Amino acid sequence: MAYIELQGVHKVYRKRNLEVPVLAGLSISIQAGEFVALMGPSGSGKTTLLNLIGGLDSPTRGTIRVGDAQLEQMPERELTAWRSQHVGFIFQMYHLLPVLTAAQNVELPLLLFKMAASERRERVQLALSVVGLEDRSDHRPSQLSGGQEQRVAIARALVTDPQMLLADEPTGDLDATSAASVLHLLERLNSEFNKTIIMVTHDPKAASHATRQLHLEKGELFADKPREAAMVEY
Amino acid sequence: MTRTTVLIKNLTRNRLRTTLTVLAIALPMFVFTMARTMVEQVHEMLAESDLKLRVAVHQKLSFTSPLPQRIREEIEGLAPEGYITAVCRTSWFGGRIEGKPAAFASMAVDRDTFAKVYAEFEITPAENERFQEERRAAMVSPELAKSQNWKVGDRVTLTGSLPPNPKMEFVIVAIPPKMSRQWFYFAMDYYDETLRKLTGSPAGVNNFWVKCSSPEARQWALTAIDKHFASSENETRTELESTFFAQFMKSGGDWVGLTWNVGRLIVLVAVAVAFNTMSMSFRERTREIAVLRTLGFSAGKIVRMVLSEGVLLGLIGGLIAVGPIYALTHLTEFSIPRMGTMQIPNQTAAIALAVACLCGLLAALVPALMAGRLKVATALRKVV
Ligand SMILES: Nc1ncnc2c1ncn2[C@@H]1O[C@H](COP(=O)(O)OP(=O)(O)OP(=O)(O)O)[C@@H](O)[C@H]1O
Ligand SMILES: [Mg+2]
Repeated sequence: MAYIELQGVHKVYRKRNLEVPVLAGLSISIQAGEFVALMGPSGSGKTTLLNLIGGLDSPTRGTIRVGDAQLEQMPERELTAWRSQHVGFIFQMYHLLPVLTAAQNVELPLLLFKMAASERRERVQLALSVVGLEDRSDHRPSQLSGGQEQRVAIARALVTDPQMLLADEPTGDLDATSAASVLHLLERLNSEFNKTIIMVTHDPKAASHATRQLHLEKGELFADKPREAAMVEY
Repeated sequence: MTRTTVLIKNLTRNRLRTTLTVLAIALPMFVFTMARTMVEQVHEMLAESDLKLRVAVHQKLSFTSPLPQRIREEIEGLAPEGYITAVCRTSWFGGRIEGKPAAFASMAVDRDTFAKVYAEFEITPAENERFQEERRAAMVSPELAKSQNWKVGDRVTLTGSLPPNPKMEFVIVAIPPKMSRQWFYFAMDYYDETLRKLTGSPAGVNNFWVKCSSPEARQWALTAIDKHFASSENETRTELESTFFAQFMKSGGDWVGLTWNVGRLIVLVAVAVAFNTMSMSFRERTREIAVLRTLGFSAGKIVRMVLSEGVLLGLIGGLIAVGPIYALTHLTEFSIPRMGTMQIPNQTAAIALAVACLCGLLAALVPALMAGRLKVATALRKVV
């Protein structure tokens, strides 16, 4: 059984009396352990799709199952609790809290769990060492480079050990070197730790790190190319 | 790290704004604390004074217009047997030490009845005897003696603040421990004699304090005395001591009532200003709150977090407002003009702290509800 299963998903935004259809009957299966690159022109609904899979928003129509959670049927409160255990979010602009140190930012999601302080510390250290920043744990976001900030954000997404990571243009704001290290890290998380990853990106080179590419255009997933084919095309 | 850590860290985000918010609560709460303390003190004083069964008889229109001294005998003669314990005349002297502003109250009182009418001072027979024997005798409260560095036996020269501004020398014969606030009492006959020498006319009397023997006697005094003098050239007005003092204090403007109204009104200012800065602070953090929601913090937790931040700011403001003045008035003899020693009552301090927290809570209420209702996906899109 696929880990993520979307069937006939519609998303229509309502702006006053205006209806903006974004996703038009989208269906897709993603297996556990896949690393999916989600591509498509600006405004095609990539972020919208990611938000639906991550339980941040609800579809207008259709069903979304992740693991054994039927997201479209869950009320907001359950979705929130579900997110904290099953999803790690990574954003383009990192979104770290500026007043907290790297370690504290990583620890933040753990505050939602009943856990001994020592265990929390261990987990934070582990997550920071996975992203290679154990020596920066006391730095504030303002004392880190963009690439380091994004790696801290990845550590924060990892620390609760979720099955799925959702990344929305994680390298969109980074220089080539930092982007490469972040992509390499995601690749490792996929291959070594078996995380299911969906990454939105505009960059074909970034997409090439994924095991599968999806293209979203005009509300439909119109292509589903294996990695080899993509390499040939770009 | 705990959620409290996050809370406290958030306060360090914009130190200037945090400081302003805290001060916006602290300053009004300071005024509130002082106002409540003064009002409490006045009420306590008035409540106490009613237990003393004293009434004040003064000129009908104003106690500042003096009455002749002989009215004392008339009042004494008027009362049924056993109704009146004693009558003590008082004349405002308003003495000041040359070159210093007046910082205490001074009055001429009847030598023979003073100790009886002001029984609460618990003047000992020995002290009273010295008050009778020394022509220039004065008794001062311990508080005043302390602030002026006076001891029994000291000679003190004061100049009266009413015309003809007599300059008089006194000898301090007693400092009765129970005498309250900043008071200076001396003998009426000495004052009278001084004035006669200077102007040829006797000392006028501001008040005849009538000590009654029972509540019924006091009830009698409240009506009978005024009735007796109704058609004379010296029309009187007889009042409960508490009524008199309330009026006396209002005579310089109703500052007690005013202070209290300002004290309460200013709390609204605190809420308004704190609300403004807190709204601003949380509007800037919309996206951060959206991120917290994304990570799995529930709407309820976010609401509680924002409210806690408000309460914490309020508490800090309250502590700044109440803490130092509370310590100051409890650890030292802190006195203010007209009120004498002041001490912030525990209850007032507790109420002020609670009100400060409440201000913070109120100010955070709207931001909290807005944060709780935040649409996560929409908020994450917003470029702030
Ligand atoms: N809350 C909303 N209300 C109305 N329209 C919205 C809302 N959110 C998104 N849209 C619209 O939906 C469409 C898809 O938006 P979305 O952000 O999912 O696109 P995207 O593929 O992520 O674009 P980009 O590559 O620029 O990030 C856009 O046209 C956008 O304007
Ligand atoms: Mg997007």
